[in-house]
Parts: sequence; C-alpha cells; structure tokens
Amino acid sequence: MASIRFDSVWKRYGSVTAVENLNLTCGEGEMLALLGPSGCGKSSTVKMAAGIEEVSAGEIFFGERPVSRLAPGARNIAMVFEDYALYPHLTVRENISFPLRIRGLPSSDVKARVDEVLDLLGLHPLADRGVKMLSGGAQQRISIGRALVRDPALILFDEPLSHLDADQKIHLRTEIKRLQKLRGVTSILVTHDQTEATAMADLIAVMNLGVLQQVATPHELYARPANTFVANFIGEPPMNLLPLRAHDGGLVLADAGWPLPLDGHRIKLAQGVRAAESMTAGIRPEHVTVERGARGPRQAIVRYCEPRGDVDVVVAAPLDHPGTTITAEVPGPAGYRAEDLVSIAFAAERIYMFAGADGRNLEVRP
Amino acid sequence: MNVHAGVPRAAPASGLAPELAGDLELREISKSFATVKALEAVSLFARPGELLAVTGPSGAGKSTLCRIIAGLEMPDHGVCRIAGKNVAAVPAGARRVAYMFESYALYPHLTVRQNVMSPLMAPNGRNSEAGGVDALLETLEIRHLAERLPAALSGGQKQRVALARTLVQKPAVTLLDEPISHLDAKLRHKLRNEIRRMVASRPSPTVWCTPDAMEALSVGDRIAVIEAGRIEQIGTPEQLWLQPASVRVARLVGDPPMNLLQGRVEFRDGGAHFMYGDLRVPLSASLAKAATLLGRDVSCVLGMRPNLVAVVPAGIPGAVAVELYSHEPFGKYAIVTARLGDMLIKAKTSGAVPAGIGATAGLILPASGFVLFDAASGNAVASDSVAARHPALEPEMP
Repeated sequence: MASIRFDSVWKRYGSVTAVENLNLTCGEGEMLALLGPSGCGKSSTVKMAAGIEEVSAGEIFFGERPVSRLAPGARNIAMVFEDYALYPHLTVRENISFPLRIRGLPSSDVKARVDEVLDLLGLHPLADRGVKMLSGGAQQRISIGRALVRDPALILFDEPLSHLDADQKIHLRTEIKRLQKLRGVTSILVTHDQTEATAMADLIAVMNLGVLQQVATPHELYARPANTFVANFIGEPPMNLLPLRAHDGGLVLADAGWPLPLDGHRIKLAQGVRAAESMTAGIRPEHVTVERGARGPRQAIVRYCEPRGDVDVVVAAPLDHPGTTITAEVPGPAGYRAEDLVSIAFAAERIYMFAGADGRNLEVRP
Repeated sequence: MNVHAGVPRAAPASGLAPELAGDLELREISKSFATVKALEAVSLFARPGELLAVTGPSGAGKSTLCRIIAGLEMPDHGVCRIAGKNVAAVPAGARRVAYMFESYALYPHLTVRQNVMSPLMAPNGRNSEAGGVDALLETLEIRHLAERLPAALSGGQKQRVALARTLVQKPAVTLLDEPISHLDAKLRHKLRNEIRRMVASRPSPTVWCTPDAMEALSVGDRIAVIEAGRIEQIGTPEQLWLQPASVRVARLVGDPPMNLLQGRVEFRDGGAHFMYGDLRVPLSASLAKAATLLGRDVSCVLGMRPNLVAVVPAGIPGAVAVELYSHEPFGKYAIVTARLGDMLIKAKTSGAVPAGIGATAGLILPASGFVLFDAASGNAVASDSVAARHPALEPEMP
C-alpha cells in the first residue's frame, strides 16, 4: 500500500496534448476517481500510472518512490477491467489464485489467502464453478478478488461497471466501496459516469480536454463546483445554467426576464464582477420548486415530466419564452403533465454565481 | 429476408395504406425457438401518440417482440394488429414499421445524411417527412457529422444516426430498441424528452425497449415489464412504483430498488405483524386483511422503498440494531446499506453518516407504505399506497 502522486505530469501524442501539467495525489488507502467525458485524459492518466503508457514529462510517485521508469510488472499494480478479463476455462478459485500461483507461493499460503478473499466477496458457494456461466456482476467480483488477493500497492479500476445491467451496477458499486474501505487498498477509478464516481470514491478529479478542473470530495464537488463544467457534470439531472442580465439595478434571467432572488452575499459577488462581464446563475433541479397554477413572477408551461419513482423530473419553459427550459426535481409521484401551467421558485441561498467568460464559480477562489 | 431498418419498400396490395393509422395491438402472442419459449401469451396495445416502454432484463424477450411487430419473425400463436388490421399476411416491408435496431444497421457506404434520408428515397418514401432532416440532426447533435461515413463515427454517434433515420419516417408504428443506451447522461436526459415530444404528436404509436427500468419509467406513458417471455405488469409509472405486481417488477424499479424482506406474517394481539428474525413490523388493516387470504403463518415478502427507510446512530429508541454495511454519498442524498441477519437493506436519506462501516447502527422502518408479496409466487397481495390516477395516461383495453 502506498499513496500515489502525479507531479507535473504531461502526456503528448505527437502534437496533441492528452494530459496537461497534472498535479494530483491519492492518499494511502483512499479511492480517487478520474472523471470526465471521452477524450478528457483520464485513460491516458491511468495508463501512465500502470506503466502501459510512458510519461512525456513529470514524475509519478508511489509513496516517495518515483515509478515512471519502472516496467509495468515492477510496479505491483492490479487492474480491474470493464470486460472482467477472466480465464474462461478456470474455476472461480483458480482464477483468484492465479496471480499467487504464478509467483510460486506455497499452496497452503495460496489457499489461506484465496479463502479469505472468497469470504470477503461472499463467493465461497461458487468457488468450484466455472466462470463462463456466471452473471456479469459475479464475474466482476471475481476479477476484483483476483486483484485483492495479491496485496497490490494500487488497484486501477477501469470502468468496472460499464458492462453490467442496472441492478447489478447498483449492487456492485456498493460492494466495491465496501471492499476498498475494509481492505484500505489505494485505488484509482476511471469512469465517465458521475454516479459511479460519487458512490465509490473518496476524492474525484474532474478532467476536461486534458486539464484537471477540480479535485475534491464528492460532497464538495456537489456543494462548491469550481466552474460551470464541473457544475454541469456533477449531478443528475444536470444543474440549470441560466445566463443573466442587469435590469433595474438587479439581475434577471437573460431570456425570460425572470427576477432572480439574491441575498446580500450574492449581490455583493455580482457587484465584484466587472460590468462588462456577463454572469450565469446555476440552480440545481432539486432546489427549484414547482407549484400548480399561475402565481408570482415566474410562470411556466410544463414541457414534460419524467417520473423516477420517489422523484419526478419536471422540465418547464417560461411563459412566452419557449426557447429556454428550467429543470426541476420534485417529490414524486407528482403527476405533472405537458402543457400544465406552473409557478417556479428558486431558493435564494442555493443559487450559484458563475462568471460568464470563463465559467468560474465566483465564490470558489482558485 | 432483406429488410433494412424499417426502410419501406413498394407496398403490395396487401400492405398498409399510407393513410392508415391507429392502435398497435398484440393478442396472446407466443413464440418459441426450438425448446426455448421466448414469448408466452403476450397481450398489449398502444394508442396513437402513445409511447409504450417495454422493459425487462436482457433475454426477457423484448427484441423478439419488436421483430414480431416488424414482421421479421412470425409468432407461433396470437394476433398482431396494426391500425386495426391483422398483419399476419403482410410482409415486413409493407407493414410501415419504422424499426431502430439495437445494432444500428447503417449503410456503410452512405454518409450520415444519406443514411438518414434513405427511407425517404424508397419507392413509397413520400410517406415520410422530407423536410426537417437538418433540424432533426441538430436536435440529435450530429448535424456537424452529416457528410461523414459511419466508419468515422463513435458508437454513440452511430446510435444517433440510426435514431434519426427512424424518426424521419411517418410510419404506422415506431419501434425503438435501446435507442439511447450508448449516450452520456446529459444527452440521454435531453433525448428522452425530445423523442417523447416528437412521437406524442404522431398519429401512430411508439414502442421503446430498454433493459433500464428507470429509463422506461421516465419515457413511457405506460410501461410493460416483461420477464422470461411473460408480461409481469403493464401500468403507468406511478402504478409500477406504488403498486408493483410482483417482486420481479419491484426488483427492477427504483434507484436503488425496493427492499424485499422475506419473512412471515403472524397474527396476534388482534393485529398482524410481519416477522423477520427479531424484527417485528405491524401491518396496516388493509395489509392484514390481505395477509389472511394467504393463510396462517405463511411465508411472505415485505417490500419497502428505500426513501421511506432511515438508518440512524445506534441506541435511538424504536430503532432495530443493524450493521452498517456501506455508505454512498450522492450530494443531494446518500444510500446507506444496513445488514440485518442475512438481509441487506438500503435507505435513501439526506442525513449524515450514522456510523463507520462495520459498526452498529439503528434501522427505522416506515409505519406504512409497504407492499406485501406472496413468497411462493412472488406476486403482490396488497399495497399500502394507492397510485395517483391520471385517466389520460390510462387508456382502457379496447
């Protein structure tokens, strides 16, 4: 076990920069998620950690030890892949014991360590079954067992849930989080799915176009996103990002002209921005309230309502401004239907203020 | 058979006339492949403008259902009616079914635009919408790719081309087989709504298949849950959530889905209680009455939704001692998993972490809002909640 640290790491492919000056640390026993859309540099980063790709500049440290010149086999890293990569002709027990056997451990040691992992994963009943006929979720648990049994310095989880059905995803993300915490194994999770990252990781590094946008705990990313990219990427459904304009000494939504309820603190933030710069308000759907009927200054027409069981997602367009939409998440089942007339309210203390030019959160200091 | 992605061919005399529009109706459709029963007595209908979502685990029979409607498979038994007409004798090319395959089936030698326009070029293509192709490409965020060949596209981009090619048509039935599965969360959110709006104004019904029950809940006016070739339930999103017809439906719906505790009902002190180990849950009068129909001391399953369950620090009066198994914070809420005996119970809460993993915590169950299932059949016996009814969403079976 060790911490892992990326120190001014760059990755270039010819003239293309895949990773730009990355500085990032994952503490011992923690799980760090690399999160971002395709092409954000997360895969290049994890490949450099594994030694599959060379570092173009900078250094990677495991603890205090520089590893960027070490061969992949010398780094003591285990990987869990999206397609499980099990040996199809071996049993569950044989798959998990494989990394120990090739190292020539005495078979009594192998048995003790494999039994412990089988226990941890609840796989004992399946130990002597072939792996081919097992569900995807069970196969991925076996591949996690095979990683854990080696006591690696680091486990790299590369999109470990992406091939699973929804119910197995929900089950396995709970299991991975629990195992990682119980064993205290330093881990990096690569994913494009913010739900998975939020469910499993201690820290999330959000990347876009090769540049680290923010690294923080899941709660911090949700509560204090550094910029509009992070704000829009974390949270389902995504945050409403609404351009603002000045009107009558206050701020209104640029399109609909709706007044924005701002407290003294936010008014001060807005005043600190140069007059020439535009601003964007960020409001999470769960902080938008919806009421039936025409009341107050913010009236809208429901365009659609997505029932999701305990909550409903309501998308509404301001009256007379059908080009804009506001997304709200309300307790369900609420039973709104398209064309319903509703009134919208925003919680003043939950509004984020972003600079229009670079999208930075006006409250988060760089 | 040479049918490409719902491209209509010249309609023979027995084909559906272009002006025909109306319900899609399946009656008692069964289909076996060798000894495997793919579909068993499946009956459903969809009205013009209605979006019927079909969901179930992989292998449940969703794609077979689509292929039978499209005429690519013949049912062993049962009747398929499109716009009131029994289509048993109508070949696939003449059914006017726009079918988006899960595998896309794009023409590799045609550009994105040509692929999307291809149904309009077919002999009876005048039935399709010639205008609006650019607007459709724009909505699907692939307009900038219009002149590319499929080989130069990512999986998610190909999926949107196949979707555009299906939506550009004016068919008697639209079939979408996992239409947005390869797109990112933001685009999925947008397209769920855009597609719903597009098909709602059509004079024909739409069927949307997906293994993701939450997606089905989000898009469907009604949802058909299918498992092992049988219809488990057809209902509105509210009905599936509040009154799942079986444990098989309950297991699919919700993130996380309903907790299902296997125990038994005991009648004493003038009331009925659900018992699991030391856990004793008093049941409402309506559940108790339903439980009596199951007989004395029979095993049953009690369903409780995670948003009604709370996990609290140990020692709080009224709480049952449990082991804190796992904790997943999602910002606006957290999912806390507790272990009670050999059961894992999930709570969806906005509270703080009550204890460390492995430590003892307290479980507080709701006073009502339960669903009671027969353990043997897995079918629901009674439910505490009554679904909010929306007549417009619940057309009567014709």
